[in-house]
Amino acid sequence: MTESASDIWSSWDSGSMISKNNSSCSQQTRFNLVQVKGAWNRQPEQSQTAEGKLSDAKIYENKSEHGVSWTVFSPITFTYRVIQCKNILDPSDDTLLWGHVGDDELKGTLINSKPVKRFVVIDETVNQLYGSWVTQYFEARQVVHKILPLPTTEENKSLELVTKILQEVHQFGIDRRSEPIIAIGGGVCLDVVGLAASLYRRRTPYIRVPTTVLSYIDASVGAKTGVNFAGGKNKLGSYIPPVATFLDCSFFQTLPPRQISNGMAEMLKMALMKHRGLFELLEADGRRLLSTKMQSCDTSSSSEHEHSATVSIRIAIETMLEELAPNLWEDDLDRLVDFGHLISPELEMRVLPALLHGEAVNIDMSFMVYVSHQKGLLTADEKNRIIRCMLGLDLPVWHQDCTLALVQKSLRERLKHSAGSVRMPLPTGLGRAEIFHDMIEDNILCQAYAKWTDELSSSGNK
Amino acid sequence: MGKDQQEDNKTKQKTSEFSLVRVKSTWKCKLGKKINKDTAGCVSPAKIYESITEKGTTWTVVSPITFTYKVTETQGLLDPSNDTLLLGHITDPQQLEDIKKSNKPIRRFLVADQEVYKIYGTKIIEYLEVNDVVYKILALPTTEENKSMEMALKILEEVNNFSLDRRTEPIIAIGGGVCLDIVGLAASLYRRRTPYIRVPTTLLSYIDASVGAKTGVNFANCKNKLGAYIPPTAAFLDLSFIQTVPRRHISNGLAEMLKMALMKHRGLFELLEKHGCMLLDTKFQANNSAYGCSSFKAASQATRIAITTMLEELAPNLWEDDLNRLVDFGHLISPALEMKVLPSLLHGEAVNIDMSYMVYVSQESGLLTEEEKQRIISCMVGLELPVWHEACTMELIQKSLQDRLKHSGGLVRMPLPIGLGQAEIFNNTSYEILHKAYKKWCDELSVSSDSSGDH
Repeated sequence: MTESASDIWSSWDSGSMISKNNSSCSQQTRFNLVQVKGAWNRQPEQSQTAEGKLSDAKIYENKSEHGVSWTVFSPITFTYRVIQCKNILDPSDDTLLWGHVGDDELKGTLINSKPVKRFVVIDETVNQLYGSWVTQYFEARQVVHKILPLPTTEENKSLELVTKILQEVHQFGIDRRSEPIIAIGGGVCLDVVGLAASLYRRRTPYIRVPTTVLSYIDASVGAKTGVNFAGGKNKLGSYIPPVATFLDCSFFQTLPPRQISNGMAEMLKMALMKHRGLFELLEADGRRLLSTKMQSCDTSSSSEHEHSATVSIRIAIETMLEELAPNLWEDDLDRLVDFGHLISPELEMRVLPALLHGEAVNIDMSFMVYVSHQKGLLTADEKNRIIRCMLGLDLPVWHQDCTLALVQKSLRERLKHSAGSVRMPLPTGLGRAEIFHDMIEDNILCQAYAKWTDELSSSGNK
Repeated sequence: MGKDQQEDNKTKQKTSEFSLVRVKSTWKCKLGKKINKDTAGCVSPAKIYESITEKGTTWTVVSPITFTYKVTETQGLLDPSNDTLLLGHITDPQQLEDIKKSNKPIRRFLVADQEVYKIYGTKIIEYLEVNDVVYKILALPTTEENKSMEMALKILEEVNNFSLDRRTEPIIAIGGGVCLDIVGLAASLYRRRTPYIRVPTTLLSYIDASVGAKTGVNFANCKNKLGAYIPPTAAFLDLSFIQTVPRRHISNGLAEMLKMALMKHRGLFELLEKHGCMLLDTKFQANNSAYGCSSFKAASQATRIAITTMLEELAPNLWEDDLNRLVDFGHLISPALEMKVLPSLLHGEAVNIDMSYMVYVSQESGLLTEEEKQRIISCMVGLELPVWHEACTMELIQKSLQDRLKHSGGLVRMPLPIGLGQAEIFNNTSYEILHKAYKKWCDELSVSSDSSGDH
């Protein structure tokens, strides 16, 4: 469970600290940190000094016969904005350049100052569709810019790509704090650029502009960045959020139907974990949302089908933010948002590039729904409703490469990566779930697998 | 932490503040700041602010992450009966007890500097074997020239093959600053964050690299251009490693100590002035009969003050949100100098040359008296540190300061001593003063550089 900073050091104050070298007692002092004329000074907690700026950080000093030990508590606050907008590439719209700057006053100053510079990384395919608009935007606003189109695919999602970006950024030259790198593309693009930005000067601000449904509701609202490594998905990365994410759903218009379904898998995930209302909406309106490519999703217009696009996206983002914000750095490995992500990483990498991320997630979820049912957590009716909903969203519900062996291997890996517990989120009803810590009994797993294959293998691979 | 976004309140939009409350396996947004006392234990320090405009919704997430790390002095770190190396990072007494009672084997992945491994490898292995640890040791040539992403990747490949537990098996780095920086970066990247432990084996890393959050590698011929601000879970400080450090490298470390003294601590300065030679001769060790027990007293006092002053400056600014940093003293010009003459100057030596010049700038600016300036330079010479270098030209200085401007949000933020053990940050030092100081610096000190003989 996530503790607040003050929880952490108040438990220290209660003094139940054991000195590392088996000594029975040690003298402990807590120090505050106060800044006076540019220099930080530590002050024992008891002595209150009025002057100077007090930091949230604290230092505990422990003296024993073995020596001194210091424990540092340093809270770092991550603040980021997720902003829905329209016409982001319209030169008269400020968002792309200044949407990340909160203060209206500051905004005004920045707009009037020295030449604005921006470095943009854009997915190759997105560039073919929107590149000229992006260029036009920056030229119309007289921004010194460099646009780097890259083939940001799952197979390329590597440190090599990150290095390429870094070389170009370094050559272009950006200010340390005030010239955020902009990433325009799907999840892979946003992840790769995010990692590059995290590494450059140890931290460079960056902005995400998702262009797919999946990245709109998933990759863009969290902190994670990453690349694949040694055949493992997202094995290297960081938890540095962007300074802002700009959500313009008009990008969806140029998405193939398969990509829209792909994104809706992650929506469905949140619905199954946390929100019955969203599930019912996807059940009822899924096909229409697909065929209209979720357009007009950010207006409060009165039309019925526009309304469901708006609502479903809003719920998906809110439920995602609810789960991510209190656990930004995954201190707690119990995460509902991991649903659909226990088996899919292995599956996705194995059949690369045959399955899109959301499709692999859906196959995982589909199997887990059978596990839930086998454990008696879901009724047959609920199970069938969920599978029908998935099929209605044109998502694959079974895959021949998702063998029982792959499932078992994935769960063993999960044990390894999740500090000894399988932490399996399973739906316990429509729109609610629980996390199970014990490994699933082998017979339940096999029975669920057999039933899953029996009932769904005829629906085939996508 | 958790400051309200005041600016949203000034605009037309209505902003709602949501707290996040844990309900069984899930989190729920709850409107408002005041939360029911019953659920108080399950409220996250994170907040979400929501405002609705005609274009859609804007959410602002404010999420504080608390970094906790320990810096622990110990003696006999590699003594098999000392459990610090394996368990010293654990703060929860219950967890510690559980581990000690359990018969699950302890597993550790270690990265050691090649040279350090030559000296201590046998001892390290003996320690691990006696304690029944399942281990893998990777010995690498961690030099400034190798301080690259390639080396970090090499470490990552091996770590990946070792199958480290995600949370309970910290990677251990044993070596100097370069080793600690590279391993720290590799650990920060693996699974987006893997716990790691620093065991510094040089004086410089003991008081500098080990106590902060920074990790990094060089890139495009620039020092530490890529990295992260993830601190280790713990740093274990054992002065006995210093006894196998060559004299030159001890001076190297003393430069960073001197930096803290000049910026913040007159007492430390006087200690270095008075006992510098002894510290060099005894290598910070206790058992030197020539000096008796006063040597170790000076050694531990000096290291403790250096560490506490460094922690004071780093803890409130772990991620450098504030670019005004006293600890940057000696680091405005030295990066370029160090890279230019690589490998002929050690990091601390380059830092000292930078500091030496800056002391002249201080004096020229009227912030230091001539006497204070002389005392400082004498102290540096007494610590056997270089105080001048021919490659440190006026062009290099100018270029460095221009780069500083670029990297520090448009201000040069130059820390300068304003007395012995006191300093302030300046942004307006004129070219005239810089030039005058340079001339004087060359006039007075270029002679001594020839006689120090190590370039």
